[in-house]
Amino acid sequence: MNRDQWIARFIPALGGLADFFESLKAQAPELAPQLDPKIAELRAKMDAALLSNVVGISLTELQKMLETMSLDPRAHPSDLAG
Amino acid sequence: MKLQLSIALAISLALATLASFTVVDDCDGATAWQALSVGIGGGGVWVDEGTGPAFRDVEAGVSAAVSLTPHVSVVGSASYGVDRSYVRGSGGARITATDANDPTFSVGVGISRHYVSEPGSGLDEAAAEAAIGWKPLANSRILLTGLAAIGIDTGRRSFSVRAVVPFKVTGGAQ
Repeated sequence: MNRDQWIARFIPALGGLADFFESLKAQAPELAPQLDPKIAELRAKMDAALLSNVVGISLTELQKMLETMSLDPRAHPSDLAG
Repeated sequence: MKLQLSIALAISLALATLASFTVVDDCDGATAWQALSVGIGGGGVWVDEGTGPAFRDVEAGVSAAVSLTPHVSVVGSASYGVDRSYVRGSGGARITATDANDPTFSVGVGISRHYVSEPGSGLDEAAAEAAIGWKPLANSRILLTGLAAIGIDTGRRSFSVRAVVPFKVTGGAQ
């Protein structure tokens, strides 16, 4: 099982872990500077993994697609309908 | 129903955006300016009046689009009602499919936020849209376009048919 598959399989665990850190932060606000970056990282990983699971492509492929994104210069007649 | 339609459209748009990246494309990447197309035209609009769509007015309008990928475009339009003197506009995103053997014909579905200055002369809410465009004559630039929109909140329908002359913005799409 590769990295992407591991992350995609444990989406619920990522969300649960982020929620746990949130509750910890609520009980101990002084830990916020250490917990906030971790929470943000977990939520970002969860969002990316969720998207990967929905569209059926790996995170690596998704990243490559986004890196090579370019606009399409072709005009479509239906785009000018209004 | 309305929430489900919004979610379905949002997911479809996201999937089409990602799927379009997998299409083998022989077009070079372009800047936003090069991917912009603008058209000016006129036509008629029909709007729901309780008993069904009724002819509202003749309109003159301008529309513009930036093609982000071969199948996803950001679109917008502004129209002026010639008889009733209202202003109507919309802006949103559209998934486009073009006939591979005939690039003069395309269809699109999407979602836009519609605005109107005079209540009853159009939609004033987010709406799901279906669009069609066709360049019927090889030696003429004129496009025939049609748009059907249904309000996500109210369910009111709007239809417009227009003849559009696309203009090439300097460096823009043909």
